[in-house]
Amino acid sequence: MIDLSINKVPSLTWHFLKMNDARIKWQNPTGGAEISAEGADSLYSAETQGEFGELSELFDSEYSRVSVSAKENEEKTARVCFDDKGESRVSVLSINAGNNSNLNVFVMLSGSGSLVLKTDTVVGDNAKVKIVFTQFTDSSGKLITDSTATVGKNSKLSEFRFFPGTVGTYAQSKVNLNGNDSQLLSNTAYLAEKSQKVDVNYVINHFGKRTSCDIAVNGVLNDNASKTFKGTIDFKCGSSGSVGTEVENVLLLGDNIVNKTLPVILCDEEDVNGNHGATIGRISDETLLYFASRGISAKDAEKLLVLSISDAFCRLVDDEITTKNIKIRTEGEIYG
Amino acid sequence: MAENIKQVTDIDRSIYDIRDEENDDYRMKSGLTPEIVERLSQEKNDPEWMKEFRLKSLEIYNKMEIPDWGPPIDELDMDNISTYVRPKSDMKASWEDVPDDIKDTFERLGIPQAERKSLAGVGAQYDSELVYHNVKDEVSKQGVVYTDLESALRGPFAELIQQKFMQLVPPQDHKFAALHGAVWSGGSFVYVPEGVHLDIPLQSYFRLNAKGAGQFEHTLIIVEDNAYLHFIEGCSAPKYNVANLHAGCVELYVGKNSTLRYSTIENWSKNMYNLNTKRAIVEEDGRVEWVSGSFGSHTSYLYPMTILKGENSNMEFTGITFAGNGQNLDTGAKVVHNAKNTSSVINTRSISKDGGISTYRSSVVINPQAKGAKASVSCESLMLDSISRSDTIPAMDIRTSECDVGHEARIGRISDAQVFYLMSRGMSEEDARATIVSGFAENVSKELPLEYAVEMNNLIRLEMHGTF
Repeated sequence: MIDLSINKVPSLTWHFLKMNDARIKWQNPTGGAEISAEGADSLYSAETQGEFGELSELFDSEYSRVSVSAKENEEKTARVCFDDKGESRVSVLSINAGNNSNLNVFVMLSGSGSLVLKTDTVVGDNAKVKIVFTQFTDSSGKLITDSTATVGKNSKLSEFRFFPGTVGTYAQSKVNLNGNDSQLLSNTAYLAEKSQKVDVNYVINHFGKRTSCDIAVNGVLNDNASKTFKGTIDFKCGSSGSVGTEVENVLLLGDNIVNKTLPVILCDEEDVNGNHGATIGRISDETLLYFASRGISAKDAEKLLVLSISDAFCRLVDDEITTKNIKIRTEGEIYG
Repeated sequence: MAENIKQVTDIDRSIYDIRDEENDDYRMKSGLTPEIVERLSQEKNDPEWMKEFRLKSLEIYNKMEIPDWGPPIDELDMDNISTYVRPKSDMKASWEDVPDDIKDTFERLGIPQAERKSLAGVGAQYDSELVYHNVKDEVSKQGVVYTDLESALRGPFAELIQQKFMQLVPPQDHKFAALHGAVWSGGSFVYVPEGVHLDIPLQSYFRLNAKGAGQFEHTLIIVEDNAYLHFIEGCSAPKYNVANLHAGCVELYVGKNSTLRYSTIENWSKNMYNLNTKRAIVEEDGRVEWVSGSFGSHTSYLYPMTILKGENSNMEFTGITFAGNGQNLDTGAKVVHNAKNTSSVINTRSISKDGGISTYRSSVVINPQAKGAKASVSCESLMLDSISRSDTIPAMDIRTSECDVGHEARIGRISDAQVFYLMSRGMSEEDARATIVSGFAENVSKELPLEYAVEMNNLIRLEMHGTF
């Protein structure tokens, strides 16, 4: 087993909160994930074994790699599926969008073992890139996604992540808004129950002028599930005119849940606007009364509200295949 | 118009920078060793348990690491800090008996005037010792005790103090709590009996005059059930070119159905490392109100913490931080909800200018037993120029579904639209910006007990005559 320290925050706080990083044990990788892809440029996989101490070392070995790119002025959609085949697997996804391109990448993560996916994204100028990560691993599986992206001028990167709950889901995303007028839209939905864990760490660096980021994280915690959301908006010196917003909504249903939130705004520039808002709690009595007055029990009201989170996510993603898969997964879990 | 740089001038520090000639009765040699701690204990005529406590705290201090998450404190070298400086005066009950040089300093800061006007009692600490302590007769008659902690350690409350001293803030809490445990001196003890409602406040004022010295006063306040107290604390020091250190400790015990309002105006000089620890524990239906103004210091670590122990207990924290040139102020609050139907409200404002760094840091912990807890956090930061920095690092750890937590944070500059609106109503740009900054700070500054000390007026009077 490897001891990993992942999802580190750029600005530390009190250690007693245990939020500065996530320390986990990870099965030694046995090779690359099985990849199936439509619209990809290249695929590479090999089986290697090694000893690792840090997450970055996992990626030093070329296990399996897939590249997706859109040439200048090209419009393209790609679908890539990574399957850990019940073992510990590591893969790398490279995404490159040329100037004026429009690229959609749908990433499906499946299996029942331990999957690590690193994603490197480069968004050129005046380009639009949408990346949708949907997790369909078995609930006994573990997942680490580690994404980095740079966004060119006047471009937009949209990142969507759907985590329906597993033993351990860890997601990190670092986005550098380098170009003037570049944008990030980040939306994450999660559902966690039993003793499932979700740990999300987003770091958005605003370098360019008039850049904007809009982060939303919405989810449900039931039973004794735990979730940590760490979101850092970092306005670097020179990012004048930039705007950053992070919003979190957490519906708490279980009696023994653990909900940790660390929304950080770092500001080294005067002419910026950073906002954070969080609403964390159970279903209000007013809401339950509203449902009851329409003949809907409290239990069914809970189910509807849980489904509303995945429905809202699907509307934003706006992809028929993704919507269908998510509905099968969530409705299956919620209605048994 | 919109891109013009506005300027808020620095607070006028001239009255705080008065330096008295160092004319100490005794000054401990610099550094931190068991011998120094034992000598200090001897100087203070400690009971045996306190001497052992100090030496144990020193051991803990030596084992603990400097925090790696806050502003840098590398330039603070304990080998250059004298932990005890005794002024040439023992504690007086009459203002007239205080030596002239010390009296003059406090009078310039407005302390006696404040007492005459509207305080129930005043304590004044100069370097490591209290030089003046007085309580109005009508307050004493109600059974209220307000005295220096060292006298209290040898009086009728000795046993109670031994039970409570550094129990809320144990030396293991962090490195500078351990330091405090080892070398504390001075500070106040307040006891408010059950059912006593003290309508007028008590005030302590701390002045550090000695160059390269530390001040480690300990404030212990016990408010019994069904009582009320407002305690005001003020701090200042002249500026030297070497580091000074303040590592005080405040422990507040709030009884059932009682309220304690604790107001602090901190205006240490800009060579001061302010590594202070404050903590309150609140029983059933009790309430603690923190009002905190942080204006001075070179570096601050200051996060008053509240433990809501009893059902329906609640806290409110209102704070303002103003970081100017050369200052790195890391301030905020911590709250732990440990019982049913507890509630907390944290409301802060921070302003950064002239290269100052302001960090808001907080933690809200709601434990599983705190069913029905409510917490609200609001922090707003204003950047007044492009060379300053402002960060917000709020954390929440929630372990029950039966709670409601709301949080909002905002960082920004003065809005051009607001300036334009005010200018369209006939204001000059300068006045418009001044009005907006005043409005930004008002939510918090209106809570500050300005009427009690002249000093506070100077601290929050932001002179808005700028250059455009």
